[in-house]
Amino acid sequence: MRRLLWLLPLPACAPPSDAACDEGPVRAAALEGIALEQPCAIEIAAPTRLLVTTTDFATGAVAVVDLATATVTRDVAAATTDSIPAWHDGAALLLNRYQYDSVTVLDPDRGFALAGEHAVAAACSDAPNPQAVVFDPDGHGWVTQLDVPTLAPLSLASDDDAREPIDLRAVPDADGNPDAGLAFACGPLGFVAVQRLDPSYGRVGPDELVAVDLVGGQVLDRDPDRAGAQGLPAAGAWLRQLRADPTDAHGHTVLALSTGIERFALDAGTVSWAVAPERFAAVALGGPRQLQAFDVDDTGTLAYVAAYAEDFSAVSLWRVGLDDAAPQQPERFADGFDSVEHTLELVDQRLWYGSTRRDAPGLWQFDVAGAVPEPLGDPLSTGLPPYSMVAIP
Amino acid sequence: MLATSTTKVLSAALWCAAAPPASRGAEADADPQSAEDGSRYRTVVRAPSRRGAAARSPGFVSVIPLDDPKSATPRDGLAEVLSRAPGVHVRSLGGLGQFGAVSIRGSAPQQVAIFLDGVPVSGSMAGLVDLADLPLDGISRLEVHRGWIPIAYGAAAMGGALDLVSTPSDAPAAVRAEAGAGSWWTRQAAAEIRGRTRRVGWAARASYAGSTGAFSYYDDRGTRLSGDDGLARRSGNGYDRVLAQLRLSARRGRWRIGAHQLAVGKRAGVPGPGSAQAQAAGNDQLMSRSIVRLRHDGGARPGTRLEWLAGVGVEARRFRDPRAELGVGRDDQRALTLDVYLSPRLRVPLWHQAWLGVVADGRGERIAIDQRVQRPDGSPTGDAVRSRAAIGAGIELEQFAWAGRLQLVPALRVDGVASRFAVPAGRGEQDDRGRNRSFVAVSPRLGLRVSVVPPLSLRGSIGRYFRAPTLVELFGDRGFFVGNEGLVPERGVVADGGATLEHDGRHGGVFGHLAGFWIRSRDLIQWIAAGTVARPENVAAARVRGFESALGVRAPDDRLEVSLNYTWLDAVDRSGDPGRDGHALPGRPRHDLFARAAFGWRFHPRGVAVEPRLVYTAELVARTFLDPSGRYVLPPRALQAVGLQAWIDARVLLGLEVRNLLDVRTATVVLPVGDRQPSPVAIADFIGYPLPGRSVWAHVRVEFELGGSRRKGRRRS
Repeated sequence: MRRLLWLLPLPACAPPSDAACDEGPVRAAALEGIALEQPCAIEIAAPTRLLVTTTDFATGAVAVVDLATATVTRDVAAATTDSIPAWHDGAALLLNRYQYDSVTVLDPDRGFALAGEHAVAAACSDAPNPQAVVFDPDGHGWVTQLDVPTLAPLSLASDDDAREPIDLRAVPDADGNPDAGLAFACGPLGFVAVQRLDPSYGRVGPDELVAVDLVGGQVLDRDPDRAGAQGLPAAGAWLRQLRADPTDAHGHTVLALSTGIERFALDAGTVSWAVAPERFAAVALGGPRQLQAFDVDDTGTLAYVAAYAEDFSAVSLWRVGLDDAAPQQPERFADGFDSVEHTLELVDQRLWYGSTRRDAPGLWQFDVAGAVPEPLGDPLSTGLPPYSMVAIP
Repeated sequence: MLATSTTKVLSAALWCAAAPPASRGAEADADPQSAEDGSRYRTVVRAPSRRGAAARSPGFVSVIPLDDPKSATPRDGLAEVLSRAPGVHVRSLGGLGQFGAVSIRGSAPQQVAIFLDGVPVSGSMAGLVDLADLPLDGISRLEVHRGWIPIAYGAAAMGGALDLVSTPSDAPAAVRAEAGAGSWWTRQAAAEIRGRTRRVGWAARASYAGSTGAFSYYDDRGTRLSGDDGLARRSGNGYDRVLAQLRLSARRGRWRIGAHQLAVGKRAGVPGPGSAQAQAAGNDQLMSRSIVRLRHDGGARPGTRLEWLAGVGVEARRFRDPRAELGVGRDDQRALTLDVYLSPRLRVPLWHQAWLGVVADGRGERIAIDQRVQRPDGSPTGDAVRSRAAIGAGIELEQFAWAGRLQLVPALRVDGVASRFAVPAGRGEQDDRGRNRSFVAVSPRLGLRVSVVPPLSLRGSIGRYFRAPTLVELFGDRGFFVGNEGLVPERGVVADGGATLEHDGRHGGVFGHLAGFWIRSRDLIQWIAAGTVARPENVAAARVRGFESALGVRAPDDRLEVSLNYTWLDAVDRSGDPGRDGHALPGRPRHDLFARAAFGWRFHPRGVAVEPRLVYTAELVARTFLDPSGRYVLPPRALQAVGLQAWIDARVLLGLEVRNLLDVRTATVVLPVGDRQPSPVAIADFIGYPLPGRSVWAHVRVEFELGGSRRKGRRRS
């Protein structure tokens, strides 16, 4: 189980197929001169619920958690065994990843009834492997695909979307596929985390945050003087999760979990460590892919992190101060868990964490108001064990 | 892809004397009245009784004949043949030549020990034998042992043991040629020649089999809404296999020796799930297995028998997934496996109506993995050399009383397993913590048979079993199977009891049994589907109970044969884990009903004997859960088949069979989720892996016996 837990994200990261995705000229425009005007939509403000996908790896489902009452409505909808929840404009979305290759739309107003299913298909790939979805100001969705070097158009209103995919081939990568994963939008500007993986999943270069003109439909190059379009290179390896930096009122700064916690200042185009990898390494969390999920408090001074043990045998929960805040060395406050994807959310003074631990699967709560986070009772059952979750209005 | 992982180390070679493992060969002569004259072993060799093992074991044994000259069994039809036996359930990935795994009495496939003439083919490295890797060429019968498992079959057969018994090479000299063709370009061709002198018999066989496996199936595109659903055609599901076989037997005085050399080359596609089919993934296999059996009957005391059984298997296997269509990254893994087995067996008479059987066996396996796809980020190379040595010894006392009507068999087996799985740093799998481990286990057993009235026997047994985790279970295969190094050996207690009925005479026969069984497993190793991969887990406990029944009736001259099997199974997870405890173990149908009827007659147009025969089979399974949480239950599924064959002049067989007669391709599943909307899905044994619809198989076989006595026996048949 434990080995599996860290391996599982890999199937969600299929390497490129042999099929050609390189038709047509590669386009990119200069990023210079384009200013961020709207805040970045990374998280929902003032969430009241959690949308949780669950699975026993044979079937999948969706559970909804009411944060005020700490009650779980289980099995409100069906999901796959590799579904990642998302939210947009009153609709719940499920990104059904590797080999499912679709986006499911659920209607919260009708008890999360099935409202639509959209295949994510590409002529050059048998398994496009959708990873994340962003929406431009017009409400048009764009889906990152790990196996295809484009952002696929997604229209929640109809399957008949005439828009062309946005070509990402401008971002240089030896195998021609930039392995697009996480994404968010700041108005008309999208940012896509691209990885540098060879066809056998070997990491051959740093992840980058690449700007994309969602309306104009092209990659924006940070440094036109260099060959290929340039993104903002990450300081650490493997961008695992993104959060908004609460200290930036403009919403143009992003915190990212990699081998540490790094801060992307999008306006300035800089990257710096909020928690350097050495601080995690000091508590035996220095290995690649050990850090799994995180969230930060409203003041932007304290981060809560779920991390694998060195041998990936279990997941423990930690807290660490960002920048100069205490504690400087990560402190473990709970352990003995298992989890697969992102199942950690901090809402007000309560930390929610979904664990797949076989003898006690479910959603754990911790009161983080005091000096030491305190667990609040037994885990809430989510039906099937929790797989991934997101906070929603 | 399962095929890669389930990578069986083996396949086989058989000896010719048609004997079950030594201890059972002995039991075959258990009639104390004939035991004294020393002739009973010859009886076994020359005229093996198809139901002999069933009659003489304190356990419940099904014997399935495969060399009936009047019937045509597909050479890749082991899964299909096995599913006819009561208490046996076969799960398939779909199509001939594709992965199939057998479960007996609700067991995991790894708990079924599989043998070829007594030599184990269930490798310690993989454990799980892919039935598609066991062609039926040269096999005369299958023996399915349940409940009481002879000590010669080892300690791991918690569910049961399956022995493929080869065709005797000292059968009459003959030349045989056969060919078949069917749906999806399925094709087979084989030729065999047999010869014999007074003391030496030999047989050589060569065959080819292949199929595109491109059947059409219902594809739900991985979504619940049916708007984009439709029929799709299976891709990457084909295979080609060539096989060569040489069997020799010789006798001199009280000595007999049998040898069998088998070589198989197979190239098979690995298709992936139906909603995301693979095109380029495949599994290539080149295998050789040699088996030698040396036996000496008699000695200082009449009835004494000494036997040596040896087997050497070498297999080279390559799994290729150049587009990463199946699992974690591209894959090109080569594995070279060496498997050596040696087992001396002695059976001696002790006192009045008592025999002592002593079995020892040693087995060494070595597997070298050569991973050709390297990862540049410091990940382990994937290369590894691992080995396992196992030794075992058992003692079995057979005590008869009341003129053989009572048989009591206490037995004890001790096994030691030493695994050398550690690999140097930088090698092996990701997070490889392979350790060198050793296990010792004792597995006592007790069997009892009482013949109440001649055709009716009461049987019962209780025993303890043990199985160490296999290499694939521990380390996975970089593909579909993800290892779990925390596994511990599984152990279990098996008990059963019931009655058998066996009457065979000139006026027909009646056969059947009714048995109840109970299995309690601790640390049961169970493969759990995990999205696009599967991983093994020690389910803390599992309880399996049920009953199986079988009834067969045969009219005189085999004009009419009817058989009916029904198994009720209650296999429950007792792990204590919330969400699983109390739910059915996946893949075990609650109800399994099999019916077969055959009607034939004989007439002589122009003096040529013609014997047409019509065969109908139906299998109904119901209440099968495919998930560990008890949500995904398959609706009842009935698959029927009908066949017509003609046996002409005792030398030509023509056959035509239609399987899945009603072309059942879809089922409706209702998950207890959301609006509980019924979802049509393809029929399947594993979630997402469709089974074929209707198919047709045509077959022709011609056999000429060489020498003067050639047709006498055939005419009689």
